[in-house]
Amino acid sequence: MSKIFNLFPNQIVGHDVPLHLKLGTEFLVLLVTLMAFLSVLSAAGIVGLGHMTHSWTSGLENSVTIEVPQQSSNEESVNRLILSLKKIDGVSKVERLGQKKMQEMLDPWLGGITGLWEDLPLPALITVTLSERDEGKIDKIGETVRRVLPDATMDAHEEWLGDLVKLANSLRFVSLAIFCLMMLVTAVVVAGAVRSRMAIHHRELELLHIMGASDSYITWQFVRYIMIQSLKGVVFGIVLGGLTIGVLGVVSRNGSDLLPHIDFDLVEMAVFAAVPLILIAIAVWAARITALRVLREMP
Amino acid sequence: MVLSHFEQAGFAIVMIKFEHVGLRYGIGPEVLSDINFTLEQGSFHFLCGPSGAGKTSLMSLLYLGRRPTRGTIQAFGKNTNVLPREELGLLRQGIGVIFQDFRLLPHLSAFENVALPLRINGFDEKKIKLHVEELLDWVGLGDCMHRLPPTMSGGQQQRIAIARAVIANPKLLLADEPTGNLDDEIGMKLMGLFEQLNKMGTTIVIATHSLQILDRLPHPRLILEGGNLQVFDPALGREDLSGRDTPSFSSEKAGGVVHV
Repeated sequence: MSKIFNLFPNQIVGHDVPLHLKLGTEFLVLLVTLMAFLSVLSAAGIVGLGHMTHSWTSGLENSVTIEVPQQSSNEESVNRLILSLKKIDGVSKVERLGQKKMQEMLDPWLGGITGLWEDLPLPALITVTLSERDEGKIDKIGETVRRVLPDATMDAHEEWLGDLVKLANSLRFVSLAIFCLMMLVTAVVVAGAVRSRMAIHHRELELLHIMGASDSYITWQFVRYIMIQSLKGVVFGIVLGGLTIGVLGVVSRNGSDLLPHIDFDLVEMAVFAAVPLILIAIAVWAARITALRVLREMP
Repeated sequence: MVLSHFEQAGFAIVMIKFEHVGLRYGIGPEVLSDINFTLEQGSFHFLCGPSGAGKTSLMSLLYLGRRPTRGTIQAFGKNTNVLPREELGLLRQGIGVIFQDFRLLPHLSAFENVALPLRINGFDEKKIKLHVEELLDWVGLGDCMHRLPPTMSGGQQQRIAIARAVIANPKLLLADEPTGNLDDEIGMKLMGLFEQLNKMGTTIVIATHSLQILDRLPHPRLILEGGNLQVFDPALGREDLSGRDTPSFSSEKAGGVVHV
């Protein structure tokens, strides 16, 4: 494992403080790999949830469903309602759901029992499609329905859409919270690692200090070390994250129809790859602050 | 050595001045009490005293590695008690230190060890290469400048430590038992090197136990006993300076006159 992570030769590090020695802080690469992997997944989750919500709502948000109870759903009254609805400005399509379509929708619930359809009090369902979602036009449709067939009810999918958006937003918030938590964990662990290395190399630090090395001269060595360790971790994390997203994409294409297809465009993929770079910035910042604080304890 | 107008007028430039300096570690007793002295530019002093007398503590105050718990230390004309940390670092760049245990960085080559003060001072790499190679040749280590210190003998390591201490042309050179690991002959040769540096204007303080060196070289001695400082100048005889105000010593003056 250490050979895999050792892509950058020690010469590049070139420390006065021997940070290239393996003294127990190599786990940083593994930690950053894990954090980068999870951050790629959480970023993909946030974007993927957006896609999922869009695919679920796109067919519904411009449409209204009208339900006419069986006792009122004679052909004449339903047709009258359809004609009235077609006259409304902005309505692009009015369609009654046929017997066959309703049968398809209910089959999974009825378990394929035949001869039951005639006995079921099924309502007539009318789908009204608007050229664009407009609350004023939806209100007008409601007025028309109440005027022509007072027993009929209208569902503008507001409740369903609202719940779905709430769910998606909650999941996005959770993903963001997890991402922030990962940043915090990275910062804390990096700070701990830097403190540990500074304690181990106290004699070298003291010598540099006595020679007149500035805090920034010494701090830069730790910052450079953490930068390289984080970079290694981020590269591995991005590769692992990319592979995982690829596998999920294949599974979603060949799996259940209920699962949305996970397809990201190149820009989105580039964003996922860029997100873990924030980890490097956080790690470097934590290393710098910690090193400066420890050095300030020296006279 | 080119003298400034100030020096030509007969005034010595004060390099280090201790005024009522005391040092304690934590809540323990004072290891140094009421230390007063002044080191002038171009002076040469031995620091001696029994083990545990506080020589290493005094050296650490001299190279500004600690702040005193009381009193004031002036270095190169600046009160170090009130100086910000960044400026203390700049003052330290003017001080070369040779430690008893050399304190070389074992993972760096002889070249890299000697180059360290120049890198810290921000010299460019071309100048660093030129100066370091020249100095390592001068101390007889030109052939092994890329070897790591642990693969070298004690004498070679000591020469690296000396080269590292003088490479940046320090105004003040401090050496803690520099002859401790050497035989008498090499020890005296090393003292000859320090005298050469002193003649070139470097102020020198050497902590030593070696009676042979103290007997042969007639420089003033700062003697620490029980945390108090006394002076013995071979030219004047023993004189107790503890508790007095800022004595100053200058080996450049005839007979090493002690000013009290």
